[in-house]
Amino acid sequence: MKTVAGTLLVAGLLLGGTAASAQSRSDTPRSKEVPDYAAVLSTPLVTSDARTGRKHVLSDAEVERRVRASSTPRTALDRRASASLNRAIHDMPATREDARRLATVARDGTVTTPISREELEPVRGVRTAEGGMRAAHGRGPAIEASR
Amino acid sequence: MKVQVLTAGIAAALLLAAAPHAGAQSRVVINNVDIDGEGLNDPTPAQPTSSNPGKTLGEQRRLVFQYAADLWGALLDSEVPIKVNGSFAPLQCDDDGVTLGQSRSASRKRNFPNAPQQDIDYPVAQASAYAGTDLANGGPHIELWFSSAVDTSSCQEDQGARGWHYGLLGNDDNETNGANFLNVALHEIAHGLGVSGSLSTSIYDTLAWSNQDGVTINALAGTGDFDALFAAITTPGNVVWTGELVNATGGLLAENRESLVVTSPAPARYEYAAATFGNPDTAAFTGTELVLLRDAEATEGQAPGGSLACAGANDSTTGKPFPPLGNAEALAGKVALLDRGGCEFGLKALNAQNAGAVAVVIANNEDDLALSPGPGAVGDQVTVPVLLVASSSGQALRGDAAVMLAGIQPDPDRFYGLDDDGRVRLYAPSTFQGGSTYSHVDTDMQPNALMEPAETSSLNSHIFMDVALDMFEDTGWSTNRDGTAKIGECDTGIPMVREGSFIPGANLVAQQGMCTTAAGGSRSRYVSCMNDHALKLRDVGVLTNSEVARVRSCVAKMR
Repeated sequence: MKTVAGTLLVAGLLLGGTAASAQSRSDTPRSKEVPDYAAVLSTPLVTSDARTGRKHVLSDAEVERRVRASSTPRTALDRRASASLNRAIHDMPATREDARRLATVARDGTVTTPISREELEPVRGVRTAEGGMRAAHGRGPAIEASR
Repeated sequence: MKVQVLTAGIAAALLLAAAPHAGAQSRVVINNVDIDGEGLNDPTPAQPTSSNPGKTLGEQRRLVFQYAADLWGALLDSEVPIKVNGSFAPLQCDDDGVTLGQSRSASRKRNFPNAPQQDIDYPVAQASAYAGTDLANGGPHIELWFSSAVDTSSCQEDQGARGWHYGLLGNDDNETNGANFLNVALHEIAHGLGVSGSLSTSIYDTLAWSNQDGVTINALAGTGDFDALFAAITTPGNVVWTGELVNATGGLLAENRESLVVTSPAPARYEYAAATFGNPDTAAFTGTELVLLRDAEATEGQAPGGSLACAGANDSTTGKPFPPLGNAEALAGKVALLDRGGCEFGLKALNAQNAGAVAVVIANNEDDLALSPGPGAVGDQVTVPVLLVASSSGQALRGDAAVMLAGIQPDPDRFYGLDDDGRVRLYAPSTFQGGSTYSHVDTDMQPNALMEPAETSSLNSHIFMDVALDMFEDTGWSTNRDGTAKIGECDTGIPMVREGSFIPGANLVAQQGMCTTAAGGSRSRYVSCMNDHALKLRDVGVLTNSEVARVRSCVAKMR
């Protein structure tokens, strides 16, 4: 994708000029249930349009729609056991530019920049030719292909 | 790893090891954030193994997690304890994928007290180490979540997942053939400690170099030339590491690149990717002629051919059968050259083999080697060696003149995982992959590295850290490289880090916690556990006999 779209994608990464959403730290009260991000981590929480570079941040409702569409139903216990992850992701700024906007400066000059959801890259389970499973970020290594 | 490479590297590595470093290990504290009865607190009974004495699933997870934390703690130097929030949660396991984990540094800091560079971001754990005070304001420095779902029968039966391997001795005892949790935990903690690019102004970005632009990623991001930046990080092999320690170690460890060598019509070398099926012995390429396989001319009702060798399959778009081979008689005793596309690699190779070919070269339809040909439905019947070459190599090999092969040979001047200037390549796949792109060592590296994006079965990070510790030192982390392992208050004199990136001392430090648990309060069991472990390290060449004796001596003094 070394194209205009690619340029726009990276421009969006750096400047935020094309971000569709200024979503950042959520206003969801801490007592209220947050979306079940743990159930949908294999798909990006922030996507970029390949044509325009415009970013789309999954809304709470979109996350929950994906959860409901999952082939594996989630239980109340699953949500409780995933609470620390779900809360942490929910409290993260959505994009890199959101994170930069939320950077704070302390009295001693220390600048703190939070990590954004966009920067998350989960570890996925990849099945091996021998029937095992190995961990891989992204698409992983030179993936075996049958054709 | 080639023994001669390791041996030749010992002297240079010892010189590196002699460099002065502050020598106080740090404490990496795991804060268990799981609810009762779940994840790290799962009471499900587990079978203790020779390397993990945990009696419940939760205990086995905690032991390995802490072992990984203790290994990094023994190797890195920070007066400020490094706090890690850890969890095992039911992460996604459905038709859309299996997620094994997620990690992050809690934040980035710049312009903090004692910052070595101004306006450069550091992960909060490293910034705290520099500042000498906790900059996380009581919160964690790193957060890690791992999948508990893959240990359940439903995830395994429905999605073909394999449960984590909770052993501590690499994969020799990995009976479930699942992901090795110790290796994965070490990898993810390393991301949280700073092995992570930000496409901006992080310390990591100042060490990542774009060869085609002649500047760092940090500088490239600063120019605002987004087209160049995107091209830089999506050009395989382009981004390299400029840190001296990583490149010194990489030069010692990296294996010579092997290539397909041609003697006529003109000498040439071609890189390749080996198939995961067929014969791994490549002797059949030596002194053999390469012949382009040609499909018979397609007749009405047949799919077009070329050099696809798909006889026996139908074209998936037209439903028409592919034509038979057109020059089968010319392939007997030769190496067959054919094209990717139309059908499975296994069928192509089998067709060539059935025509008498002694080996197969498949030309990719893309000009890279970003995949390994897999067997498909019939590849298990293939007994000849099979290679994939890039599309440009395939073009070069199909001239009019006869092509004679000298065989598969190591290139004395080129190495896996290094650029032509001997710098370690970072992972830059042609498709941008979020937080993975250039935040890893390239998958091309041989031997496999801990910080490659994917775990491999040959990783033994409990005793061998390849270039991972060097990455930290290059970014400015103070390490305990010149420290020695203590057992209790007794100094064994065994180095934390030894030549070739082995970590015997760090391993012994981490093992103490494991043996304490295994002993259950029994001194004799603790002594037995530590002594047995020292023998295991000796048996794999990590400790000498005299070092085993020193371990025994120190263990005997424990009360």
